[in-house]
Amino acid sequence: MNVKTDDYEYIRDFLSGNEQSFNLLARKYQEKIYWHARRMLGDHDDADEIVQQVLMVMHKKLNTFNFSSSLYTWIYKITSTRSLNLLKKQKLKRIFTFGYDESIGNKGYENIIEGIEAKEMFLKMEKLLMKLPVKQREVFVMRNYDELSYDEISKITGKTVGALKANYFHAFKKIKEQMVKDEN
Amino acid sequence: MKTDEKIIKYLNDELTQEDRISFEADLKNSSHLRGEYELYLKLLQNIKLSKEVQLNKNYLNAIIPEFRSKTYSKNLVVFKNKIGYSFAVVIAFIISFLIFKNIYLENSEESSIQSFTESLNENQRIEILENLNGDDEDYVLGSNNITNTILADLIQAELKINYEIAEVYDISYSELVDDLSQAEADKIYKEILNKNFSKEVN
Repeated sequence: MNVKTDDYEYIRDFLSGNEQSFNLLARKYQEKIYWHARRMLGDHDDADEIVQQVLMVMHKKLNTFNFSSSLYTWIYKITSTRSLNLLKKQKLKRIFTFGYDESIGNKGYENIIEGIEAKEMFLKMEKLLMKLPVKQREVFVMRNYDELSYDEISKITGKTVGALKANYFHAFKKIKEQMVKDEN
Repeated sequence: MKTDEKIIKYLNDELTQEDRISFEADLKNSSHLRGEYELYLKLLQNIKLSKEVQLNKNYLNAIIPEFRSKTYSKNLVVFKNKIGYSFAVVIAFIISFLIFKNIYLENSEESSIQSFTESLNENQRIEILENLNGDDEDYVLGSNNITNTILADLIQAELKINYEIAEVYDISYSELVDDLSQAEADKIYKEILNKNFSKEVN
């Protein structure tokens, strides 16, 4: 039985009233949702909020899920949209709130992430990612971290493959330049 | 094609075979290109290492219970809202019932007087007519069936007196009637005659 069939079985079970099947689906995708949101938002609290929101949407809207596409793509679309919406909200908040302190994020939450060397690199990369424009960051994260193809990203974001490649190129170049700058 | 573009396309396996061979040859010959290429490789290596991070197990295990508790509290709020709406609907129903009851009672009062007049025999009707047309202040009724109270009811129905309002303001029926001018009283009598006894008069 492949992953896709597994998902469909869980969905059918859940839609016929088995909440345990939903828990299995949630457990399967919760980390993927968290990491995508975390890399897009650069903050644990925000990523955690997105995880909860996406689970809520899944729970409420799985009955509208079209079985012709993969659940993974569907969840990604929700995660991506929610993350972008939160970023927009935060941008508005920064515009209208005087003295907004960006350094507030992640205080006391770094024990959430484990792995000494990897954690250090994670935080370093997170800082670099946050310096990218949102559209470029999204493609870069999806390509390099979520390991999605351009076609999959195109399905999720609704952008053409050409536009995605252009964004990816600029993101890759910028992040390399920033890395060199930080090291010097 | 610029250096960065070439490197990125090479790393993404997007170059044609010809361009690929050319790029690999340039890598051997150009230290600048090699230096840039190695920076990209380093970046990819850093990304790979940063992906090895793990989420704390306690946090992961707490995600679903947190979601469930949020769903439960949300359902609780929905339930409370439903109770609130139901209460409002019940109150609205009671108020509507009281209003319609008042309207119904008013109508049934009028119809009971009408049915009373219809139940009178010819002699009794003539007796009422004579009294209404008479000059005396007090009605003289020969029949036991037609009392002053019944006659007063007929007038009250015509005046459409709201008993509840009258009670609130402590106005008695007699006060209302006393305040009527002769012309107003005559008009009301005529209306009563036309409405209830026109067949007999004609």
